[in-house]
Amino acid sequence: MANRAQSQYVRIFDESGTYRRWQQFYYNQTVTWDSVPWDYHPFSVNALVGSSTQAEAGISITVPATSEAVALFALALDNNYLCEIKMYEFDPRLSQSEPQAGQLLIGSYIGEVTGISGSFTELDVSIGSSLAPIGSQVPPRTFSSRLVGNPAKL
Amino acid sequence: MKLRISDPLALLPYQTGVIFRSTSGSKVKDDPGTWLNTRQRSVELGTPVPIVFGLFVDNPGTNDDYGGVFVSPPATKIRYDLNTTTNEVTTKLTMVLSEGYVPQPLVQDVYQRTCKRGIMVWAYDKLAGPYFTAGNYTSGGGSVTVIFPSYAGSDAGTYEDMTTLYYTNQFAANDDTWQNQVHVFVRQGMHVTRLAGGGVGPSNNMVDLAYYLIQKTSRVPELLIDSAAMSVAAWFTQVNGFTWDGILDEPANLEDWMREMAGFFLLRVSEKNGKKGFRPLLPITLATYQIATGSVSWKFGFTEEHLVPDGFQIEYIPLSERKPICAQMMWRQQPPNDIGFVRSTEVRIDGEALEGPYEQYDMTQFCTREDHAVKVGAYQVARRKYVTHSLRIRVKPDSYNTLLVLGDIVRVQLRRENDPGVVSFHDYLYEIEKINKTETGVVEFDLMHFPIDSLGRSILALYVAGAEGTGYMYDLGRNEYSCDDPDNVNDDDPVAPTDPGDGNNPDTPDTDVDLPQPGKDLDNPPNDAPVFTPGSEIGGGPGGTTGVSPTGSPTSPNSNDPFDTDTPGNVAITGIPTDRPIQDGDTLIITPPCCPSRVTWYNYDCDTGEIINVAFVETTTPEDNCESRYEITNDVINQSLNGGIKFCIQGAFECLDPGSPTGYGDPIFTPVAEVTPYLPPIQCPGGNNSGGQGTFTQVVDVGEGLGSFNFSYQAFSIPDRFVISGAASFDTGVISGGGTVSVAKTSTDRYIFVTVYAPIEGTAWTYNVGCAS
Repeated sequence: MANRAQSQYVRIFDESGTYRRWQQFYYNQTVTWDSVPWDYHPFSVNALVGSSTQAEAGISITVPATSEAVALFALALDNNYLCEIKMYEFDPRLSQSEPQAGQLLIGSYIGEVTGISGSFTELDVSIGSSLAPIGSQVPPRTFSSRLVGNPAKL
Repeated sequence: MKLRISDPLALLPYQTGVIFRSTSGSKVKDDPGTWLNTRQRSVELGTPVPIVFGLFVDNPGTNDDYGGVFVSPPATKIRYDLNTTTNEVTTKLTMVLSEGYVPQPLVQDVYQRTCKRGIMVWAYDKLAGPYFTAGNYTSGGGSVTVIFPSYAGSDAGTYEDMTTLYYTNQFAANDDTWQNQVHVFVRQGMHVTRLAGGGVGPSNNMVDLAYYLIQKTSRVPELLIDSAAMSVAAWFTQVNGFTWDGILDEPANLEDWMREMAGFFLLRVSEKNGKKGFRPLLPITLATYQIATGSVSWKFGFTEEHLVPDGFQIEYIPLSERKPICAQMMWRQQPPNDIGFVRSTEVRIDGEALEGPYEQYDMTQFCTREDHAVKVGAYQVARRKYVTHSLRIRVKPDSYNTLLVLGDIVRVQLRRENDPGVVSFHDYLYEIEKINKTETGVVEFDLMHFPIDSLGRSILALYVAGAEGTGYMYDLGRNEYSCDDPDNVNDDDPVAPTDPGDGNNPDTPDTDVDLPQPGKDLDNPPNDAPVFTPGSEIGGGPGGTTGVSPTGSPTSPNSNDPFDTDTPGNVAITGIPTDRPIQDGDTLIITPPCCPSRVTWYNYDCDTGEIINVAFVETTTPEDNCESRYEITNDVINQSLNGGIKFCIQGAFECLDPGSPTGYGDPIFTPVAEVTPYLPPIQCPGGNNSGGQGTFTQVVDVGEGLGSFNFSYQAFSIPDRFVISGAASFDTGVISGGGTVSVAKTSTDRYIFVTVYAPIEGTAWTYNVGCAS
């Protein structure tokens, strides 16, 4: 594709349904894609990386630190909401007013909001698997006073 | 192509049973008999609850029995009774066998030290056996001295979702083994969901165990698990005989554990679009899940067309890292109903690495099949020899971006002209190790060489598929049988379950501490507790300290989503009439939880979210009961009637916040109070309004003039009631039939409200309104 543009879509949802949908290409517009509306919100995704090594798994989104974004991602972090990111490619000569029916899905990623950092102006939101951080320990349970009382000491 | 698999004397120290894995997870170099004869161990708080996982597979008449786990369960409660007359000691123990549900062991599988004893009671989700009091007791008239343990355990614990055992035995005088360790050979381990084959039951499939752990840790929602890939991986391990029989009791990070285990089962942890799963390291035949040894097909072929400039980078693996090795595979020969012992098997390519170097792979924790260990060894040896280089290519984005996932096989075919007129091709198959989809659209693939032979078959697959162990099983070498209980030694009945009437689970006090939720117990904090002020919470929580900006649209355009609504505060507006429209004289009230506070009232169009105006702002004080009151007048109502809008009211309160420049914290919005929606006003004279059963309100513009207007109504045979409010007042009461009345209008307001109450089924009504004059 000689002339190529890329649009990115983010949606954050839990098991019960979609929570919020954003796109970053169609400025100040709510567009319809996949039969649902996507609000304009500026953000950028660094890269969609899949790797066999643990350290490189996961991605991050950078968004302006608006109070809406802070509240949304804080809520997602607190509730382990899933976040889905999709990248589409299309020919901008055909249309730039709305998503083209034939645009190509070139990458997608689904993960949990695992971390938020940033400043008063910018938020970096880490999306990944919560398997990776410390804490997902196996075996899942340890002997506790509630489970076994005060055990013998031999 | 030939593998050499041997079991040399050089590894005799391992074979003689000097390396064992104890149930505490560490390896113990010791004589097996001594190890079995150790003192009974006890549960340690804070250590993992062990998972006993596996399945003994009995192949009668063959030398291929494998699986099962030899467990030394820790005790939670003990009792020792010494009869000082006979010098006999009676031992009673309760022990934890495993997390989850493990079926009853067989009588013949119960040991104390090296002796088969068989006396055991089993339970799930509670403490096994009859109740006994923990401690040390002495009876009789003799004067024997025995040193008992000081701490015998307590009557407490829920033993929730655990399998427990009870053991008792009597020891003759001078038999000092009464405090030795009890062991159990577990033929069927913890019940799990079986991905290959279905159902719930014991399993020796590592993928089943991983799936159980993922679910148990609750760290990964189902949506993030690639169930299809997990299922294929489970079938792959089952069909190819890769089994997991062991005890999981060493704390580890789940992802680390999965990645470590995956390699020992010729799998890799894969991530497809963020979903985790396992994928075989080798090509497989999908219909049978066996390792495919035919010609390999690749998923996509890259050529110069796809590469971006400078998009090709190759790195050769140095020869030192490709030097042939001998893989020393450590596994566990697990005899049925006895302690397992470590075996080693050397795997090397025929004629190579005869004197090493050796690379050791320890699979003793879980591997009980020689073939399994040998196939893993074959993979490692062949991979080291034949995988020669890796690539990093950068390509233009295309549809393949969503097709290719980690572990897929791709072909890279690039034309090369190093000399004038001489054309050659870089043409190899590769396995995808990493995918990086960048914001610029360029996609970066890290690819590992995937060697094939002249027939296009995977060399690694050929090595692994053809690798088989020697099949030789060592004799156990056990000669201490005199202490076995002859009644139980061959008893293949399960041990007794705990009698439901046994009360070995005493009442357990709850030792957990549950902190109260904000808004409940914290509503009444102790006197010295800091006061929780919602409005002063920095940043605001999801509960509403952020709320809706009064300058923007109070509703979100994503209104189709059930969760896509702004979170209101927890303070509602009271005083809204529910049985009629809002009207002159009504009072709406907000009582913020903080006082004093600043309250702002907004009027706006429910449909568009457009704010009509800020009604007023006031500060609540204790003198006015900390309430803010919105007195509704006809002026308020009239402004909503122009254009026939749905009239909504919302309030916002701000608590004091000395740290804020305004002196107040973020506004907290009440839920929206939607006033009864009005139809657009109709003009007098006329209306000709009519209807049936229900309650209906219509606004009528009768003009600004004072005086009176005619009101004609008809209720027909079934009674109805007509009520006029607003700029005039009239009530017909419940009536049948109709009439015309002159209604006095004493206000200059333009609008009256005509409400019809028609509660009876089948009713009909109509009315007409004239203009005021």
